[in-house]
Order: sequence, then C-alpha cells, then structure tokens
Amino acid sequence: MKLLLVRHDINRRDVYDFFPYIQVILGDGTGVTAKVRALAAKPSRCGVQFSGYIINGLRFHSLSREAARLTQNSGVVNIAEDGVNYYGRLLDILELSYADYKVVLFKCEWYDVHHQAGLRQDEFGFTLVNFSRKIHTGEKLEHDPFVFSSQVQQVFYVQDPKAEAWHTVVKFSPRDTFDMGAEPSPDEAD
Amino acid sequence: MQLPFISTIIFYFLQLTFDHIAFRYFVRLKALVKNRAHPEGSIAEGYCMEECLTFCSRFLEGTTHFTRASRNPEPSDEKKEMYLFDTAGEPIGKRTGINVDKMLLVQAHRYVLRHCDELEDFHRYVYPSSCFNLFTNLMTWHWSYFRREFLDDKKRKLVPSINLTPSAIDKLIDDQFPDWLEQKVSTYEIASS
Repeated sequence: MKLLLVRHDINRRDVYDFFPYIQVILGDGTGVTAKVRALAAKPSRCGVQFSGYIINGLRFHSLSREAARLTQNSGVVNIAEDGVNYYGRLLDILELSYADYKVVLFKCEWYDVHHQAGLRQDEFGFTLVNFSRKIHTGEKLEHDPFVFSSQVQQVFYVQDPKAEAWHTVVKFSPRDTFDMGAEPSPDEAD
Repeated sequence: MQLPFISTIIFYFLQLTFDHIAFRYFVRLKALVKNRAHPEGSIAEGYCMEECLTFCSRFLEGTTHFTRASRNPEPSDEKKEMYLFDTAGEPIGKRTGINVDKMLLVQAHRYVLRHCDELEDFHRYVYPSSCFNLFTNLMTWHWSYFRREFLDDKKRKLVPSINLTPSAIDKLIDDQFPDWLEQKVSTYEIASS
C-alpha cells in the first residue's frame, strides 16, 4: 500500500530516491533493449506492400485485390479497449521495418461509428454502417488510418437494398478454430 | 397446415443428406469390385487392402497424407520474434517494395509508439509483478517511463503554472514524442558506448 501512495504524484526524482538502482538500470542505457532502440530509430522509408494477408486463421484481401472479384474478404472490425467497434474496410497492407524488426500494419478505410449518421441498429437488431461517412481517411497528419494486423477481426458487409450507402454488418468467426477463452494470466496461475 | 409442410422439408432434407453420403460411399465400394461373380468378397478384400495401405503409409518416409505440411501454417517462432506486436502472418500475392509516403510513415510510427508496451517496461522494474496488475487497474493514465520523462522534459520548458489538459498532452505526444525518443535513445547509446 505504501507503493500506491508513492504512485500518486510520482516524480522521476522521487523514484530515484526510493529505488536508487533504477538510475543505474536506465541511466547507463542498459535499460534500453534492442526493441526499444529499433523502435526509437523510426521505421525505414522502404516498406513492402501486400494485397492479401492470412493471420489468426483469417484471410484478408485489400479492396484493390478484390475489385474484380465477387468475393469479399476486406471487412475489418477493430474492437477498441473501451468496447467501441470500429468498422472499416482494408485498403492496403504495409510491412514496415524497424532495423531487425518488422511490423505489419493494415491501412483501412474507417467509418464513422460515433454518430447516428454513420452507424445505426435496425429494428431486427442488425448493425448498419454508412459507407459514405468516413473518418481517419489519412489525408491529414493527425488521422489514424493504421491498425496492427493482429488486432483486427473480420466482418462482412451486405448492402441494404433500400439505401445504397448503408451496409449490414455480418460477424464471423474463423472456421476450424475454437474460442478457448482467455488464457489465465500468470499471476492467477501462481 | 404448417406441420406437414415442415415434416416434408425435413424428410427431403434427410433423404438428400443420406443419399449424398451413401452414394458417394457406394461409388468407392463399387470401384473395388474386381470379380463380378463375388461382389461382396471383392469389396471386403478391397476394403481390407485399403486399410492396410493407409496403415503402412503412416510409416513411410517422404511426404504422405499424414506428413504433408499444412497449407496455412502457423508462422515459425523466428518469424514471430521478428514481427512485433504478433503481426506475423502469411502474405498473399506479390511483395511490392514501395517508398512509403512521408505522412503515412509518421502516422504509422505514431500508432506503433502509442501501442508499444516495451516503453512501459519501467513498471516491471519498479514494482513487483503482483502489484503490477493492481496498478494497471487503478491507473487509468499509466504513462510509460519514456512518455513520463518526455512530459517532464516538456513541462520544464513550459511555464510551470500551466496545467496541461489531457487532450493537449495527447497532442504533444503525437507531435513531438517520436523525435524526442529518437534523440533520447541515441544519447543513451553514446553514453553507454
């Protein structure tokens, strides 16, 4: 409980006084792991682009790949920490390299899920998304079009026959995989 | 009125599935008949032989039905180690090398830094692991060490009486944190070498 009190108005100097060895760990740079070093050095400008990606048993295609196809593998949903479902479609798959490390990011077209004009529930309980209301298009610097490939889940969109822009969201879980529930955390296992 | 309708559907459905399974299987059995005078015997013999061959093939070297690699393999551990944030998967289609647009690069890098747990390792040094969960639950604003230090740095430069709003802090981090981190780590490098 004493630690908690310290945490309230934590200051770097307080921590150094309290745990002098921190300064030793971080001060001489040994606290900086290879990963942190790679991440701090910013990604290389040379990226690799794919038109499709298989991850977690889900097959994703970018919109340009399936332009000439009737199949649909581009619907993504990102469930944020606060429980908001962000619906979108996959535009591009980018692999960035950070020194020896790599990160695969999905660049998506996101739809406005915060307003009635962009997302609504119909009388049958289906969720509908308005494709003409886009957010985070990536045109401005503060936009956020990217998401980790491991973060998204797949959905399918079915066009509403009465309203062109509205699409019903169909949730889907990958075939041949089972939801085993969350793994018990190591703390609980002890 | 409804009941007969449903039962008809179910009847046809069952019949269809049964027919489907049975006829597919009969095709295979019929193919085993070599001596038309003794179809049952041929089938029994052929069935037995098929089972034996399947059994033997389990012990054959080389690629057989049992040792064939999966078509959608899990990425290897090496690959998983190389790709941060569990983003390793199997790409489809051609790999095209591109020069990433500068703005996209900034957006991507910012996203990566914002979700990076590595920068939060500080907590693990300071607090025992049992406290760690408690803390993450209690602190809705858990800053990482680097982010913390970055803010300390910035606040020192600003007028001390100004209180930053959360949105202003977010903006500050989005705009200046990547450059600051790059510099910071490089100074660590120099100091340690």
